[in-house]
Amino acid sequence: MKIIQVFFIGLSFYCLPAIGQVTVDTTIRLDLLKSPASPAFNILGIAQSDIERPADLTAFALSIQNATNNFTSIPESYAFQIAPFLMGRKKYSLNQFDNNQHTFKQSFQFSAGYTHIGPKGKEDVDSLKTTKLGLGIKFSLIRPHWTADTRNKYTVLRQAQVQLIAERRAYEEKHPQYSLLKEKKQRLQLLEMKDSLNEVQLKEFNQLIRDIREMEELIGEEYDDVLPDGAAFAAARKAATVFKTERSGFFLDFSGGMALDFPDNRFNNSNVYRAGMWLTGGNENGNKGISSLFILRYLYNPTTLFAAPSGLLKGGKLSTFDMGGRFLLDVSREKFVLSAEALYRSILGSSTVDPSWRFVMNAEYDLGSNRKLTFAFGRDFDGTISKGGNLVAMINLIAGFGGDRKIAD
Amino acid sequence: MSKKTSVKAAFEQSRSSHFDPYKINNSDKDIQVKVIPGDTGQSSVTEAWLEDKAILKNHAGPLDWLTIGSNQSLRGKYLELYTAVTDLPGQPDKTSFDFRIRGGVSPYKYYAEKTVTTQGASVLYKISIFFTIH
Repeated sequence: MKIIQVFFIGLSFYCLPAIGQVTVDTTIRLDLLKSPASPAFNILGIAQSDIERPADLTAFALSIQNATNNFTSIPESYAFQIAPFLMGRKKYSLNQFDNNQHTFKQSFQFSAGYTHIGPKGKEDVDSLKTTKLGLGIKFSLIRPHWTADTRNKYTVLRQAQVQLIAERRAYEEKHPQYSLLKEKKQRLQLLEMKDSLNEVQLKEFNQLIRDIREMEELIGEEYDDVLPDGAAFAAARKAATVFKTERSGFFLDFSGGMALDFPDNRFNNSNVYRAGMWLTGGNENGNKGISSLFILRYLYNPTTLFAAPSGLLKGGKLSTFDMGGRFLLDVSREKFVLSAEALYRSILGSSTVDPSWRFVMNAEYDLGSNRKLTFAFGRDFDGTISKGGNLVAMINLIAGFGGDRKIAD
Repeated sequence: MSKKTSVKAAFEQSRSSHFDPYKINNSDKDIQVKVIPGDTGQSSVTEAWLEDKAILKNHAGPLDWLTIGSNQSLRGKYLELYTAVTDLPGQPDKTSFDFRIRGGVSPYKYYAEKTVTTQGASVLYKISIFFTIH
């Protein structure tokens, strides 16, 4: 299990030096971080929220959770998510994210999570800590369209790009070599109209092609040098840096996953801890006002642990069905988000364990520079070794990793 | 006359403008062009002119096999195609331009790429094609 922990920590350190790069003076701040929505954390039962709002994916994301103890200890829960279709050969232009033609491939994510904590209610008891590995998938069945604000920003960007092409054509026509280029092109056309070319004509024909190519490339290279000075370039840059995808409307996501438990922390001794699938849907309000979400979730627990005087005892199979809702209030445009979620858990086909419920209040504050501070407080589902509702109280700092890039002045 | 440019060669040359002849015949078969601009999440607009006549304006994203005329009708004409690719924050820094023609004597492919060093920067790609039977 050390190998897995070392892998995740190694991955973190691999990403960390990028944060420490030289700070460049900028006039535009870029905050791209979205709250992580990882099915791997959900199936491991350590997600801050069970009901996740939809988010546009990046090809790769890394989450670190439970950075508690005043952030003095190494976090014990990690997850990474990959959007395999966004890494593939097929490319999706920005405008192709505003329709449902490619929803599945654009939203499909695979996630893997690792945690080393005790069972619910006993997370910090060292003797009960076991390693768990979660694997999950998630994709959208119905994805909301862009908000009017996002579309407006995209239109501005597109107009700037049209202007860029107009500027390029105007530059070409004013270039000192343009008249000569035109002449050579016309000469080539004259030769083309001949039914056949003799040796001399063919030689001229080929020379003209070489000359035209050379001149086109020269004009292009010279234009590349002046391109950043143009008004259209600046307009496109401004439009691109303020662009942020926001969606509003009904959405429906499917998630599924499986968690493996390594009870004695040995790789060759594992069992399925939990498996399940769930639908998350609702109305996403585009980071404005109130968003309302719901969840329907089936979970299968092949083995359950019960507390006994002699220690933990293994119980039978247990299936649960959860349903619940979550309301999110965007207090200040994704800068400060308050939410409350409630879930009811029914136990299917068992009288040993009672139904349970969860109610968690959540606050998320965007610190800027790709950092978010989140706070959760509430009552979790009953565990099988602790009753009366486990307290959910955690503060997480979520940091976005990735290379800083200079912003042009 | 037409050539296939390998990815390696394009990376080495890294030019944003290019010119090539494209060999056609005297048939009525359609000539089609395709453009795959930029990497995932980048914004692009493509416009095209055939002999100074605009045949494509303000086209966003990929262009999927646009018919621009028949072999016979295109003889001796120039196609000028421009694509503006803008890098978006959080998306890959590498912009690219993948241009293809089919319907003539043999398929043609040209690929070029440029990596931007500033957030939100744009790259303008241009390709000129001369349709010839020689």
